[in-house]
Amino acid sequence: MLSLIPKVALVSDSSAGIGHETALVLSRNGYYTYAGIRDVTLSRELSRVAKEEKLPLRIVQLDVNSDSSVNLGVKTVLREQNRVDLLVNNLGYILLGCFEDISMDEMKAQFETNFYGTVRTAQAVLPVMRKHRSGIIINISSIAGTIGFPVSVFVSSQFAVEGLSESMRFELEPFGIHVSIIEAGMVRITNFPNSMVIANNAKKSSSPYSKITRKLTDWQYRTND
Amino acid sequence: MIEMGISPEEVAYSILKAGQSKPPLPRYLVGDDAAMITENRKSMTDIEFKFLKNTILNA
Repeated sequence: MLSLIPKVALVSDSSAGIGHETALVLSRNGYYTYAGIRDVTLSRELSRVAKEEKLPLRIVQLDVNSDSSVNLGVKTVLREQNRVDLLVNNLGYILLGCFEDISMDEMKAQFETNFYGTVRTAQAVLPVMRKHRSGIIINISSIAGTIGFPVSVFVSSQFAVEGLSESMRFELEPFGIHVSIIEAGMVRITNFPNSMVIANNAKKSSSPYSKITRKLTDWQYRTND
Repeated sequence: MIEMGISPEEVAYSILKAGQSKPPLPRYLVGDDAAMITENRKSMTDIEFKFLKNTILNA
């Protein structure tokens, strides 16, 4: 028998790019979708499209870098729906720069968003998924999660997401929960300042790595022309 | 390669496909470049693959 209850999806980082499009595509295809957005003032375009198309889409404040924000965001979804069928953990951002040019603080910030952000949201939804013995977690990674490129710390964060996802898949399968990874190639990016950050030392012409960083930066810009 | 950048919407449809699959696959490659790089990684030696990466980055 077909279930008439719409499935509930939660998508992190939905203000632009992949998250924005995913929230729209899911809500247009039968999911009651919660679009997680760190700064809800950036949700105007998503809200406008949802209203225009009468989509089952709600904005929820969700900063993947914050335990309290994630817990509150998930609590809101559970209060209204009592379930999460699909969690989509978005990619985070790309820290451009070679290893020696990246400070410890920049490295930690990269892992905080790209890796611990994924950890935080997954841990917040798992109790309810286990309770229902059903759920899908999709972690968005990239091809940089499988192959090294001269953006060492971003690549490392993606390798970490890959390892986490593969291991979680084993651990969660007995509870009816599935974990998948999306490995995307080059994606056209519309929100450059939010999705790509150049490490401070990598911006300096005195950097011994300036040539390769400039090449990568130019490459990214050209890709998004 | 540069012109082959995929749209966020294309990634979104792959996520929808994964969400609707019972069960979803462990991984979904999205974009021709992702498929090409993964295939080459499997079939090439480390030295051959390093040469390919250098060629891509110098393009």
